[in-house]
Formats: sequence, structure tokens, C-alpha cells
Amino acid sequence: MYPIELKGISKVYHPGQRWARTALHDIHLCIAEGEACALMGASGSGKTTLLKIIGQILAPTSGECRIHGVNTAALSERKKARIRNQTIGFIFQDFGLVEDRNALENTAMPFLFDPEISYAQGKKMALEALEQVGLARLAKERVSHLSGGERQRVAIARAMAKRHDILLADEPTGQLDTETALHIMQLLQAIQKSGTTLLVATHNPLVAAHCTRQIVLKDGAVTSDENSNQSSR
Amino acid sequence: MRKRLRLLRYAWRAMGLQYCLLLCLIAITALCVQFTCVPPLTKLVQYARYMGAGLENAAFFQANQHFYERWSDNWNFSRDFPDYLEAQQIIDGFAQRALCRSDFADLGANERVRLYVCNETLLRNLDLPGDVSRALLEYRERADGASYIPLMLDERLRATYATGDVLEFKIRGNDRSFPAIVAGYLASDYELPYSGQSGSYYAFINYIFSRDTSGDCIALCVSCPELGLDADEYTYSKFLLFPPEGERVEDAIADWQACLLRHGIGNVTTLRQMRAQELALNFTGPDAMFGLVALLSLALLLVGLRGFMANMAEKLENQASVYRLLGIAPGQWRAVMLCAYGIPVTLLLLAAQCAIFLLYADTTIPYTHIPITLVTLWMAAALVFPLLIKTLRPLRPKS
Repeated sequence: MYPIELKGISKVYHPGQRWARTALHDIHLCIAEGEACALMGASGSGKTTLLKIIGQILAPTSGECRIHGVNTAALSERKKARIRNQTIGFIFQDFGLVEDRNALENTAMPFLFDPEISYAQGKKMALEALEQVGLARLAKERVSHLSGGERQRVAIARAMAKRHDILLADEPTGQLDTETALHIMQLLQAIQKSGTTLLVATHNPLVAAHCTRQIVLKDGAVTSDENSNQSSR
Repeated sequence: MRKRLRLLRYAWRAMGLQYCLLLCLIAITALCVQFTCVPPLTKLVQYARYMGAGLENAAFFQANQHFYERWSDNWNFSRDFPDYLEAQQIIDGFAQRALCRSDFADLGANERVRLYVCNETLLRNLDLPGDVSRALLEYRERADGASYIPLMLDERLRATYATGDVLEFKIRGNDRSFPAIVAGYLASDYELPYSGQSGSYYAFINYIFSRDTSGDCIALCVSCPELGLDADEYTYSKFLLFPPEGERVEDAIADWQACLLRHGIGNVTTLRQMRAQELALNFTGPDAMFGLVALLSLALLLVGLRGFMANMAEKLENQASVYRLLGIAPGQWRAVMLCAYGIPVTLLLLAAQCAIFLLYADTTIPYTHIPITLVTLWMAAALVFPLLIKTLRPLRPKS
């Protein structure tokens, strides 16, 4: 059973309208546990749309998206929210943080929606995660006072604290300088090595080089899928 | 529970303080608007009500000065002005007129009731007990032959006094007492006995009209704040004049005006004319500036509100997007938003209503609350619903 399994996924924005646009067309993908995949392609190639479908933020127009073997199409919004909380972590180019909260509160935020772990316990785990990314000293600092690299590390710490099975990163280094980007990728690799399935959308070949598998999208379709010098598609 | 409270705190902290200030600003503006805009509106409603009661065929004597009754405590002030009795005598000289008046009486045990003493012609047509020989213009002019002064009692006293009961009553401020007989009842829809705005007055007008006036025109001395008359119990500035039955007030008004002109104590106008003057005063009178300022501040508030709400909704929308990624369910967020913003707005609404009730407890009529309630509800809706709709957008299932 794959953590991520996509079968014939298509996505059309504004279907039936004059301005309808096909973002994804018949995508078939299986991503194994602990795999580090880079989703590559030019702007508008469908990388973010694919990540959103896997992250249960968008519903595909057709096809099946399975997370750990569960077809998510039939799930209620509440159950999808539960999957996002328990299984999938997100890292975005714009960080996706609550600006007026401090780093620790942001890192511990997923535990607010987790009925199984208390917030106090979650806070301890969040602090550990902040230590791992080297931000423990800034734990009480508002994220709006942090630099771009620090904010991205808070976002990574948030994903690490919850120990999700799947981590989706959309241009995680897009706003960062080369040195900080390298550091961020090292952090993501460390997460992946601990058994998390990593899917990174990027158009930066240097970032993609840190992944074991590179999937290239063009006009909503997979044009190349390379894994350890072996092309599978 | 702690987690939910924390979430609530996060949502509230996003814009809570500014939101609070905005709510205060809205409350202040609403009060200003209430004070400056609602009274004219209320007056319009009341005019319509009095027109419906038959006052469209009545005229109002408007004095140049206030008149004071001789027996009142204000006697000393009345020397420089034509007094009430003088005005009464002048009006008494109107062709075919008969005068009657309303007042209050003490019925022992500190029971204060509205008392009506009607004119002779009217009384002949009342269903009074046989021993009521005649009625009087005023108690001071009671003829020796009169047995009783007929009383119209407040409806609430129906259980205490039956029609035909003989009472001793005295007018407040006067030690003399008089025998009176209960002739009927007038409904009251207001708790306070001393209120010209109550249903009793309305019922009284209808009562007068329901009687055969046998060609007399009637003059009522009224004390009625909503018609611009004095609420003070001993001060009268207006007489209400009715033409003989079947005649139009416009036909009689010229004669009345000519009569008054000779004495130079006042003028006679119809309700319609009074309403036109009042409407004009809303734009040209001394209070007009306050009304315009209130309207201007309301307009500014609305513009500011729009910008603020857009900013606030954007912040909360971002927060909702982040929470969505982290696994909040739409229902949870809806609950957070309702608790963080719905409850404070509801409390504000209730507070505003309480304030209005307290402010107007002694004078207002029930329908004064209607416009302000509508305004407050609209503001609350404008504050909460766009916020809810916009901030829920990121949480809605996307297809």
C-alpha cells in the first residue's frame, strides 16, 4: 500500500464555463513510503494543484486520490480535515503561519485540532522541533518579527512536531537565498530520512537534486518520472 | 475545552481590540442617530396616528406665551402674560364653541387617574346615571344645581369602580374636593398615568368623536408633548379646537384666527400645517445641525466600517486558511467565529436595547423602539455576516 496513490487524476477549473482551464490531465502516480519526490515544471504546469489535491484541499474533477489506500473522494470534510491534521504536513513558499502568534504557538498549532494529544504535550513536542531546526531561542518571538528563513524553519518545525507520514512542500525555498535554501533542504532531507514521505514542488533543479525521484509536469501532464537513474514513465 | 478557548483567543486577538473600538463607535453613533433622527420619525408616526383618530379635522390654538392657571404654583409668572383663563374666555367667544378639558385627579389612597370633564352638550349624550343633572365647563364654575361631575376613569380602575359609583375627588394642587360620578372608562396602553402619549389620549379623542356634539364645536385644553405641547401639569400652551359636527375645520379656522388676532395672544393652525412646520424645522431649526452631524458621522462610519471589515475579513481568512491546512473542520471554525464575534455583537445589541429602554422608560411609546432596533440589527448583521461568509470561504470544500 502506497501512502500516496493517484489514478487518472484530472482537474479542470471552472468546468463548463467559457474560461474553463485544464490544470491536470490523467495523472497516475504512486509514491512509496519514505520516498523524496521533487515535482518539477514551469509556472502553471500544475504542481501546486497536484499538491493541493494530495493535501485534500482541492477535489479532483475526475480520478482517484488514495492516502494510505483510502479513497478520499467519499470522505466528509470533517474526515478530510482529520487526514490533514494526522497524516499530511504542509510547507509553503509563503510559510502559512499565523503572523500575530509566536513561533512556539505556531509550531504547536496542529495540536489544537488533535483530540489525541493534549496541547501541553504538543507544546513540548513543538519546542523539541524548534530545537531541531535551531530556533528554540526564538520560540517566544512573534513570527512577524522573524526573517524569511526563520519563518520557513518555523513552518518546517510545525510539520516535524506532528511527525506526519506525508510532508508536502510547495516551493519551500522560493523566497530564500541560496544558503538558507540549502539549509532548509537539509532539514527536509532529515525529515524524509526519519521515514516521512516527502513531496516537494519546485522549479529549482538544485532543490530537486536533493530528492531521490524527480517528476516533471508540463501543461498538467507528467512528462518525465525519474527514480535512481531509472525512468518509470 | 482549553484548546477551544485558545482558538477563540487567537481568532479574537486577530482584530479584537479594533473590533471593540468599532463596536463602541457604532454604539455612540447609534445613540446620536437615535436622539436626532428618531424623534422626527416618531413624530411623523404620531401625526399619522392622530390624523387617523380624526384630528385632521381639528385645529390647534398655539399661544405666543405659555398660559398658567390661576390656582397653580406658577401664578406669579403669569402676570406678564395673558393667563389661561383669559385665553379660555377668548376661545369661549368663538361661535358655537363649547370648552372641555382633561386633567388628573386624586381618588384617595394616592390613586392618580386621568380625569375628563366634558362639556354640557356632550354630557347630555352620555349614558350617565339619572342623578347627573348637568355638567360643567370646569370644576370651579360648577353650578349649584349640579349633583356630580362625571368622570372618565382609567381602564385599569374598572375593577375598582363601577359605572355610577360616586366618588370624592380633588384636583392636584387644590384643597377643595368635589363629588363625582363614574361615567365610563378609557383604555390605557401605557403604565404611567401622566402621559399624553398614551393610548388613553387616543381613546379620549375617539371617545369625543363617538358622541353627538349637536352642532357645538369643541375646544380641548391639552397637554401633549408629542404635539409640541407642554408636559408640565399646570402649563398649557395649546387648545385643541373642533368645528361643529359635519363642518370642515378650514371653514371655521378663518373666524377663529380673526378673533385671536384682535387679542394678539396666538394663532390657530391645523395639524397638517403643524406637521409641515415641524418637518421644515428638522432642516432649518436649531437641532438640525446635530441631525446633520449624526448623519454625516453615520456615513463616515459606514465607509470606515467597509474598509475595516475588508481588512479584518482578510486577516481572519488567512487564519482560516492556515487552520484548514492544520486540520480544522468547517464546523469548528464556524463555532469559533460565532463565539468570537457573534456573541459580542449580540451582547452589544442587548445592551443597546437596555439603554434605550432605560433612557425612554418614562416617555417613549412602544414603536419608538422599532426604528432603532432595526438600525441596530442591521449594524449587527453588517458586522457579523460578511465576516462569517468571507472567513468561511477558505474552509468550504473546493471542487
